[in-house]
Amino acid sequence: MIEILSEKVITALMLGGVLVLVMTGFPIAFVIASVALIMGFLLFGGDITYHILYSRMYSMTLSYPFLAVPLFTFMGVILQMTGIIDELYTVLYDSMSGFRGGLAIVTIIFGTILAACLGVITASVSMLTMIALAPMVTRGYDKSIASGSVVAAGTLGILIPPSIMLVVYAPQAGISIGQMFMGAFLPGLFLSACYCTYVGIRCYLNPKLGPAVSEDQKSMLPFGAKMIRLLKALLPPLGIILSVLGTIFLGIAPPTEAAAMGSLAAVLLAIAYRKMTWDIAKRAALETLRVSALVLLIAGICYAYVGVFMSAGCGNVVFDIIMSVPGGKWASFLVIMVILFILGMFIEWIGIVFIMVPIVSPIIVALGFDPLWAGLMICINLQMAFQTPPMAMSIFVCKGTAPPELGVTMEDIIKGVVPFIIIIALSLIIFSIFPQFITFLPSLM
Amino acid sequence: MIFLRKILKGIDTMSKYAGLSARWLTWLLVLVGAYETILRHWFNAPTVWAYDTLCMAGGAVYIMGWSYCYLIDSHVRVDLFYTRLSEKNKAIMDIISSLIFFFPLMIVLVWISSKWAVKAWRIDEIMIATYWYPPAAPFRTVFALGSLLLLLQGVARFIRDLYFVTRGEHLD
Repeated sequence: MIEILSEKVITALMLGGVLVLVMTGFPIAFVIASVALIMGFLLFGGDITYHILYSRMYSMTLSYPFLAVPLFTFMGVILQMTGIIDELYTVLYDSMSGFRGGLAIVTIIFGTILAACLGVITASVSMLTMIALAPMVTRGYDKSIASGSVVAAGTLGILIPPSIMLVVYAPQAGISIGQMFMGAFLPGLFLSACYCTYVGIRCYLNPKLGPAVSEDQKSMLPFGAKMIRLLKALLPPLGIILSVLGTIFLGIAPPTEAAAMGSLAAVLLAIAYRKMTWDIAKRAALETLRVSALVLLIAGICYAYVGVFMSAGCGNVVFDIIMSVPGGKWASFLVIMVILFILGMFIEWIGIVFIMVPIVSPIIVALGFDPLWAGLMICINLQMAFQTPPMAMSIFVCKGTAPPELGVTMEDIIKGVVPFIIIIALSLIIFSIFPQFITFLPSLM
Repeated sequence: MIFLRKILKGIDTMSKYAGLSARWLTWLLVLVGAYETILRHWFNAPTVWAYDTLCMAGGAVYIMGWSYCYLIDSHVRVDLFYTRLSEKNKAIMDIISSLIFFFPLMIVLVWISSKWAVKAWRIDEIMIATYWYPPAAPFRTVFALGSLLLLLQGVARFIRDLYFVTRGEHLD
């Protein structure tokens, strides 16, 4: 029966099978692996399929670049649990709360700095919600503006390096992780600047959205004390950012080692600030184990799935379909982006990156695009999908972490997020016209 | 029933301790990773053992974490529809899905990974990524063990779901 199935049917069965069957709500790793196992069994027989499954999972668990996943997670978890970067928020708050919309801008700036220290969106969104949402809402900020800023700025965490998504993306597409990190920097900062501008303009025009905080609510410290406080608050995030991105940018170490240095820096800073406890040492290790175990299980399994998919000739089918889109290479690229965006709305990024990137990357190269630029366009696009309703990881995390007494509803968050989504979409167009935004920093390395 | 409950508790305990003990390897990753980086770049004295040690320690973290993640139910699900189901319907879905997606897959994985582990011990297989040439058998054994633990945790979940659906109450 195997010969009867054409490659197109196999492609449809494999991709469609995964899409439909993950809706059962069963852990996606097992669903994806079973689709690969069954199709492989029918096409190549048991021995070959089992071998693909085992050898690919085995080699993924021994992968050196992917060690950056546990290491960056470790660093983020230590920072989150010890709270040594939280102080920066208070300092920023004091300096900016006197302006209209100042707190929302502070939230975005703080979120951007958080993003440069953490690598997983769930971490940065939940941390930002816990620290920044209540001060805004209790000071009379519009709930939509407040929660929208939190979600948009928190989601930057997966784009601005160090980001686990970039770590995972780069090897799949044959790009260096370091270059990808550097390429993500300017677009991330650009988005952050656009968010600030947007919030600033809206609150300036309509002060009800984000009223200025009156002087008496601010702390009255002398200038010198304030500066010392600022320095003390800035040291942890700067230390982390320098130890990680500095090592990568200066070419001292590949990301895996930079992540180890970053983790060490986080631990040393936590000890210096007297926040490191035995309990945190245990919990941080367990949380790191949990996150990296689930990421790497999906990674290994998708690697096996793609192995079966490619051996069955399905890669060529997708290739032909996308290449035959009328309207030239930009139309083909748009189709890829739209498909990934829709997938990103429904499925967690881990699955998308591991399945789609190996399939899509050769097409992007054949279309004549720079793989680094296209990779970052895709990551920015996915980043947008994570905050697009109805299914949006970031929104769910924000809603889930928000203290109930604030009364922030799902509608508030969705209403607040839409303008930010439009900003990201416009930015994607800008990055297409001026690819230098993405390619400039990597070209310096 | 008491016997069954004890067995399930035993499986839970194994998964839990797999996670609780393997977590210390994350500290090893940090310390060895930083040590190697500092030695290589500032003292120009890289070690021969760090690369393989890091890879194997990382691998052990993931593999030992698999069953732990399943114990605390944190493997990623697409819960678009799943969250809207009642507790009982969730259990029914999981029972059906386990039969189709979990058991055949995991039995294959446990079988083939054990086969490779046995083979690696028998032929003294070595890893060839670096000049250190460590034996591959211990890591292959860890892989087989982790897969077995994951399978057992799946069995435990399955029995609990089945009990809940048929008896209308939780087994424990």
